[in-house]
Amino acid sequence: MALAGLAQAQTYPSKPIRMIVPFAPGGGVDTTARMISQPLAERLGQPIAVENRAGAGGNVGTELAAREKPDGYALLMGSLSPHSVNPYLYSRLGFDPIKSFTPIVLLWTVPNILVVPAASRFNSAQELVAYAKANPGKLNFGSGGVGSSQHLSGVMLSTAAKIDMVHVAFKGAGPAGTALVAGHLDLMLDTPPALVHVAAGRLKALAVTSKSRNPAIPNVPTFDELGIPGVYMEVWYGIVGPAGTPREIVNRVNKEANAVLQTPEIKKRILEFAAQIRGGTPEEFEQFMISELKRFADVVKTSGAKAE
Amino acid sequence: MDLFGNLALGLGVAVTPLNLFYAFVGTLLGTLIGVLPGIGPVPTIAMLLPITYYLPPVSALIMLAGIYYGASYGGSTNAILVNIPGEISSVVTVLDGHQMARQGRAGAALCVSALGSFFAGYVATVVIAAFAPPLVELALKFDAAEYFSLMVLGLLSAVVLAHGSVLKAILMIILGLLLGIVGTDVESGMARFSFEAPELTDGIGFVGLAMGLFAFAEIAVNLEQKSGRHVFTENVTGLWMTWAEFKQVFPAILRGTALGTMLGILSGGGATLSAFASYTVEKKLAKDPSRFGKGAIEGVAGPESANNAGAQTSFIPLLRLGIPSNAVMALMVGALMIHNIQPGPQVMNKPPDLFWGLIVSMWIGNLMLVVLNLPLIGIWVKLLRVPYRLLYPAIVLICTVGSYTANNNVFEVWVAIAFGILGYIFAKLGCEPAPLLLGFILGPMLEENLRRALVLSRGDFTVFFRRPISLTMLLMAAALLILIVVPAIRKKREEVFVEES
Repeated sequence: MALAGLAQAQTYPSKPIRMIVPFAPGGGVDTTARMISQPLAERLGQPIAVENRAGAGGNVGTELAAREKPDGYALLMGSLSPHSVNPYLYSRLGFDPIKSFTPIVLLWTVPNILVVPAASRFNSAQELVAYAKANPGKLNFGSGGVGSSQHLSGVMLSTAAKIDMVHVAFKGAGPAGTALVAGHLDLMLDTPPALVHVAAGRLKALAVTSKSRNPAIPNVPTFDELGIPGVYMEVWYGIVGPAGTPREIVNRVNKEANAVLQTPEIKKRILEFAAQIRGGTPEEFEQFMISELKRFADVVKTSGAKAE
Repeated sequence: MDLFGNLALGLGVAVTPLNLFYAFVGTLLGTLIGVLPGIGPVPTIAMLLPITYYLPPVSALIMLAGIYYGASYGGSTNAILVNIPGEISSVVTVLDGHQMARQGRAGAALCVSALGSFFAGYVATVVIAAFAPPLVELALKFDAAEYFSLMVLGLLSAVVLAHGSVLKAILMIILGLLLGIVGTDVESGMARFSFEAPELTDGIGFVGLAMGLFAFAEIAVNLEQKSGRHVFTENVTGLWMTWAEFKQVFPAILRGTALGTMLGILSGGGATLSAFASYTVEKKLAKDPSRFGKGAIEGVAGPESANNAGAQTSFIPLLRLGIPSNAVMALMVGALMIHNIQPGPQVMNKPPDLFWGLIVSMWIGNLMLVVLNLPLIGIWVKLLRVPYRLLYPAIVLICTVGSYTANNNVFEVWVAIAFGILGYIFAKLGCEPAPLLLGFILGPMLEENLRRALVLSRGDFTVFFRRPISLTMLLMAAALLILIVVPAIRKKREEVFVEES
């Protein structure tokens, strides 16, 4: 077995690789897969075909990938929702978020940003928190849906600052962002595409949910700096294979992906997305996946979200 | 003057041999994939995104925009020829377009669809160029309450879609609303009526539903007829419209264009409504509304123009705010970002050549569509002469493949089969599927916006009447209701009088 695996790994990849994206084209996971697959394919010497298998918040495609043959020819674009959040939302999952997969490489993480409409009375996160404390249940925060990163980071902020806000769910972050720009909502902890509106002067960015400041928005403070500790929300993107993917194949893909992450083109585009490059070993990625899964147990519980 | 100067700049950018070539390639690709149901513009644009990396930004956008127009026109071709509404907007085209095809007037239907779309595309582009900023501000005034009232208006107009019994139409709308409930509830995140099928947590797929109800059901009904199995008449009268027809459709095209242009700006389902709204208007204005559903050419011209105008003006939120109004627009944002262009107000100002190049390329794209498709009409019409024993299996095959590719999932094929059986039963009962589809599409939007409006107002129902835009639309809905109900009452009274005399 081991020998066969080794032989397989030495010739890997000898045919095109499929990368399963458990979401529809156009979203963050799909964009990430398309961004990384091309340079990665060039280095591996075989084309990588992105395959969108959307459904049930990423569960359909993720389950499908877990059942693929662990030969390195079917990879999955893993991300926060299916691996760290959905296990708490759905009572029956067709996969184990950790055990069904072989972590290969963590690519990058993207923070959320506390944004308010340009006409908002709030000019800092503290002002917003102070107002929310004096007026419980008055502020509306938007999200792209129950269990989305905008929803969960809103819950984190409510817990950390001990405030009470009303959650307004939308079908996707796009419509929620429109409502915020139009001033129908008070705030949103939105993903970096919202920075477009900050640049255009339609939104104000008040804080960022990463542990350190983001190079794309160096003037925006972290919640830690503002004295509201515990608001950490970073959407992660990483490549995983089905459980039992041979070590040699994991190492090969990990090595090439790390090399891609160091290229100037990717670095430049990552900065535009306000993302942070991660990379590192498969072991580090596994530890990261386990700790994220643990961390979101309480957050999802507090949010009260449940899909079934 | 500024507008003309800018347009001249745009012409200079867009009308180069290279860009004309990409416009042609885009529209051709779009038309081809549009004709294959299920494979919409979204996966095509997603597949082609990496290629655009190697193109200059303007060329890339021109090609992607071409795919978008082409696909929406290709969808109409399908709807008219083989009764498959491959996308939401072609549901309306099916109603009269396919009837025209059966009467041997497929050429005229395709022709009016192409010319109506072309005209609407031109006008809507001018609107984008001249009035984008104020229109965006208007669109931003639409909150959940306004969208709810708009959906109420849209749903009432669904009654008009039916040409038979009003009661049956209302029942079909209700059935559509119920089917729309399946899936994840936006407010709570709970899965409803999913019966433990993960696929159903996203709701019933539109592609499977539409193909089952329309294509599969129709084939089943036709196979049953022992004699006269030739669905399409042998004598195809002219590939073009007559002058009389042209005079008949021109006002419809104008009205459709106006409606589509306005509704297209609204990101929350406005463009979806435009074709339905136009059909309602045409049927209400017609001297003889009974022709509708039996091959009325205005019933194709108006909605097709509205649809294309809406498709065009849905670029406005994207270009002004960087907010994509649908999945295609979201991919366009991706394309812009590949080229280091952040969509938003600065797109209009900073690189003026890009913005105005895109505007002019919209004209070119629409022109290409006509140039490409008018000669194709003859070929499409010939397709209808293919014997049914070859044509039907081909349609079934294409629909099955189309259902599968909608999500790369076999589940959708089962959905299509299930609704094919249901559609056959509906046909036997004389119930029309179009109102059901409108209920299915608008129901979830109606519910979502109703509940969101109530969350925002903390449960205060008066919010729908306190907001002027919302109130206006509710009043219009009430007026429409009276228009629907009064003739029915009058008819009853006439019947009573007849009996008395």
